[in-house]
Amino acid sequence: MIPVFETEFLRLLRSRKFKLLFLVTMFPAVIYLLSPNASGTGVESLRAGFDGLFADLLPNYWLGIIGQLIAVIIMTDLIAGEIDRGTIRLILARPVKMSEFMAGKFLAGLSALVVLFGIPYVVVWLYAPLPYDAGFDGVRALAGDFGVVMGSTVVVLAFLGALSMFLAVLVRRPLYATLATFGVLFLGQFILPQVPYIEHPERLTLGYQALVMLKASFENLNVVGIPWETALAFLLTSAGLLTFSWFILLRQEFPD
Amino acid sequence: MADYAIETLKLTKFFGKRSIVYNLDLRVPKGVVYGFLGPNGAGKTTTIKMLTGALKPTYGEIKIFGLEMPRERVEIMKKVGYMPEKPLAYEDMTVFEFLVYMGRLSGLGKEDAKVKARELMAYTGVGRLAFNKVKELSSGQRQRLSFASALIGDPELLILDEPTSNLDPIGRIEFIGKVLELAKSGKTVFLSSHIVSEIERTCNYVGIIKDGQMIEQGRVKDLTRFESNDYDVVVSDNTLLIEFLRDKVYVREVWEDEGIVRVHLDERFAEKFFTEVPAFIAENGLALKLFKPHTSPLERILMKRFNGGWER
Repeated sequence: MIPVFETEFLRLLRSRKFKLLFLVTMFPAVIYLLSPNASGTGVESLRAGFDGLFADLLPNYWLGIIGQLIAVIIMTDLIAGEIDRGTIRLILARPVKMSEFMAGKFLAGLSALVVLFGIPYVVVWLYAPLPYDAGFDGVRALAGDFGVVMGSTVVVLAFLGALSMFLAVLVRRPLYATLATFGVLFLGQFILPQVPYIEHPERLTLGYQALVMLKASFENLNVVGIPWETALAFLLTSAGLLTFSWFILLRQEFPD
Repeated sequence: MADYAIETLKLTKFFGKRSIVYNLDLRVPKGVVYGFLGPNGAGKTTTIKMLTGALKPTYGEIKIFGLEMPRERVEIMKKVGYMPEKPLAYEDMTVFEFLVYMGRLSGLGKEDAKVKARELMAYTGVGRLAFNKVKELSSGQRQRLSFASALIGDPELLILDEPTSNLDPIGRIEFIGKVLELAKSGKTVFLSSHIVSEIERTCNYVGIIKDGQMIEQGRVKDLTRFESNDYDVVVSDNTLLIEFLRDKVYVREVWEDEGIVRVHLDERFAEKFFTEVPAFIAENGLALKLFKPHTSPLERILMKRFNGGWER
């Protein structure tokens, strides 16, 4: 698993796709650097400002449609690309278990996503205390909130990655797999909830569920749900999707 | 069963209703160079894909070193190096990175993989391309890289699918030399090709496949024993040799064609040809310039079996 993880992670970091997507994830952080709009000074104001910023940007940008698309683009190519280009035959001809191969790929993709999303988060975390005049106390005070933001993001990204891999194994072509995954996400979050007898359709978006997880540390968030239950549900679903993907991959053939 | 490096029993593969490989019993003894010969579309690559786990048999068994494929794929692949027909590699990696990655997947540690990669780059002639990306390589260079990647785990069995298809003539000769070197070192080589001369020069065992079925299999020597009936001879006085051969019981026909004496032998008495002709040449003080079968014996078997329909 380690060679697959290391090689794939470095390949992703060096890829042109990654650099381009990094500009997209950095965009809100750059805007924040240019106009932080501090609403006061001191640690309390800083926390309120930081929490407000992430409660706004997480569901609407980083884990909204744009962020989801980024995760899907990175994750579908990991296995569908190998199948499409035939290089999976090289892997099959090596003493590597399919489960190790999949786990290596999944963790490499997830790590690359953590870098993509983590850098702008860290930039905001480290910069935010400046306009609030809160210094290192501010950095320390935000550590807990930052951890929850990062954790919630990783949990949602893991789910997106597992879903992407599952559909990539089924569809076997990177472009079609990306479209299929994005289609499923769009349908699940925005079309199906429109069915009349579904109550609170707004709760069925990944962004909303990310906010539920933020409740573990953020105050004054007006969302319904229990953070650890939501996180557990995401993680169990991800594990289930990965198990199905592995099961399907084991039974597939690779003629080309 | 473990006496064979590869053994298949009634190996069959259907795509839809069409059988590509049918009841194929392949037996590759350990330590031989086995030529898997057949025209394009005969089922060679499909068979190899089943041997390497990319395809699953519709029915039939595959055993490699006595282990069952695909159930024990991971154990099997510790002993196998595979070179696909179309060289596969990660386009965005450098030659060195690719080989190190393949080495690590074969179970080598990071440093060992680097050492082995350098060694194999030199061995296969891609050393100066170490830091070129795979996408920058020509098809011949990719083929060499693919060969290096097949060797990186120091396998006991090499499965080479049409290994010289993208090589230039010099590259082919070099490649054949390397395969023979590997065979000498005790490795089993399973080599598929549709080029008869390549198989003849390289292999001591051969299996001939037609329409997915094995039609001949065994030692090249045994298969070709009765096939050497036409000989080409050139001596310093061809006319004298023709006069000598004309009435011999073992000669069915003899004629001269562009300075070469062509002799069609009666196989029942062929042995006499090999004793009397050298004696005649020595007695008459003739210089022997050429003495060889007219066409290759293996080629003749194929021509019979395929009624001349063979792409060479």
